Amino acid sequence: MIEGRGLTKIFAPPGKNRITAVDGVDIRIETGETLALVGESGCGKSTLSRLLLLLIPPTRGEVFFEGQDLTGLKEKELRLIRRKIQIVPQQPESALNPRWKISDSICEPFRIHPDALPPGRQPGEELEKLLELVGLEPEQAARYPHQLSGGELQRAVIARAIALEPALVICDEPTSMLDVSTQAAIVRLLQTLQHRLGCALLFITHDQGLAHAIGDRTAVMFGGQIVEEGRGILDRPFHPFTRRLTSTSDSGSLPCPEPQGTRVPGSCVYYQFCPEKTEKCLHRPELQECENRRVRCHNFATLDADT
Amino acid sequence: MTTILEVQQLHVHFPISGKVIRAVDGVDIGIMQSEALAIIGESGSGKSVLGLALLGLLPANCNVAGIVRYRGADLLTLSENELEMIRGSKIAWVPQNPAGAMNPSMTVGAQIGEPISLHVEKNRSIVRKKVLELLQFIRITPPEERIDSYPYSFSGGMLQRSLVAMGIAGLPELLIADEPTKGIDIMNRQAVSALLRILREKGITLLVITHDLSFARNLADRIAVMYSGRIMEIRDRKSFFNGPLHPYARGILRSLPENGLHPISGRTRESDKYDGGCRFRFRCTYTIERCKVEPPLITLPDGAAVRCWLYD
Repeated sequence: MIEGRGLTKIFAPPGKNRITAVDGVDIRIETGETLALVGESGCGKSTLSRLLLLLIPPTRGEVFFEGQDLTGLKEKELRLIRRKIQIVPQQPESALNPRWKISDSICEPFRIHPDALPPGRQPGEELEKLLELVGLEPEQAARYPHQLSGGELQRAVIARAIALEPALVICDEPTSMLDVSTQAAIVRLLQTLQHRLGCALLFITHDQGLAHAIGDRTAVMFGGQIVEEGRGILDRPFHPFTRRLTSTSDSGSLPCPEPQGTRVPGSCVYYQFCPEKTEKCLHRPELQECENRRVRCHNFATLDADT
Repeated sequence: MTTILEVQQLHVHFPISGKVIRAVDGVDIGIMQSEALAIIGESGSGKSVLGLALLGLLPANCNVAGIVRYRGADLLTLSENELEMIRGSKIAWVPQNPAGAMNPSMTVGAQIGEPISLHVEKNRSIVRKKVLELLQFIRITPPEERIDSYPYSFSGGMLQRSLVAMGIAGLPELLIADEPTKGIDIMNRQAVSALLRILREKGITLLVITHDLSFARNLADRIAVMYSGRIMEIRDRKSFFNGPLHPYARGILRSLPENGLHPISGRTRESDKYDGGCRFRFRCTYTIERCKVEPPLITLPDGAAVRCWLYD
């Protein structure tokens, strides 16, 4: 349904080094499925989600939505497409206008797309329906954002995201600031809504446990690239980074999240971190197909044989 | 094992627009020398307010009552000057939200060095040397290049580790860390967890306030569960994760992704509407008539304590 091909985003802040946030990513999400995108902070997950919506222009690459190339579209044409793709951000506090009542924020999509309202329906009726879907009381919708808890705000943001019955909802770490029982409630809510509305979910998270629990497919990102993608990859990881993500072993020594040494140009993105690196890894590996998954590693086959 | 800090009947109430928010409502808990105690509970359960109250860091508009006994003194009765002698040097606080807790216009090195020059050593070159050692210890390398950086250039995980360094810089015997893994990714969570474990092995007592259960499981010796301003269960880590006793504690374990993401139904009642019964009974599946009276913390033969009539 939505597909990104060769997406690359290079930020070039004046006077500073260029940063390749997203590096040649191919990504595809089918109608109604859940793709979990996992990776550390700073690996480019959120940038990738913005590229898919063309909220920021890609340096290279194309985005196709239902067969249509979005990359060349004008802002006005894009707006029509964006009705069908909605985003639920990490921090609901900053996604809602603090001076608007919750109900005004939830109804905003109908003001931007008046034709999305069924004929004869008032935004107020839709609001009631949406509140019920996400489990908020009308009394809460009459309040301002600072008067609600994080979980309630996230429900409000979800209500706004589903108002136009989108085909894809991009959830960017929707629960990373919430406690576990609220997280469970929000994730359950997203799943119920997905079931009812038939929309696809791109669920971005740094919690591989959560990704495991909800994703039909999982994509693991590191250093701007997708290093492994497919079904069941968290159960049986091939790539050294995925292995590290899924290993629960706590050696007691302090792991070092920062790179060892400097990056070798043209090498594998995981080179400086990889315990299994070989000379081959000085050359960047391509994604290789293997048992319903794609892996970006020269050595995964030999690694797998070891375990 | 000796008790290093003893909290008795601690209440923190905020009078806000005619209502009284009972953030902490009668907490009794003792922290043992050299242990790691994790307080877990949902947002709004009063965990952070409890931590702040211990160090007298709450705003003046709230009512604090109870006893916090530390080395023969009641911290709640000490003057601000006397507290200054304890904060940072005996008991240190690692706040949540590292990005907001650091001063953006001061270098990280200067901020880590502050507790050292206040409590340990005034000589600036020695302070700098100690800060470099701390940076090396928290694996922010190379320390010489990083010591004069400003907070904006650090990642969330690096800032969190810097806050821990700041907390231990004054060589405290008790470190209270508020949500040290909130919003940071798995690698950094592991790093913070390993860092705290090393401190524990060095004999520093840890009180960790968190809702990150896997983190608590990796680090803590004992778990205390807080709900609506009250301690609901205190137990050693192993038995807690093998089978928590309190229905609320069972509920939070069932909410974990690996246990099927089952949320606890209903929502927490507003604390100003408290009616004298068990605070969890509106969301509990075992509620009986007796729950209209709040149970005490019932001590079981194995040393566990649980606030539920099921165990009476």
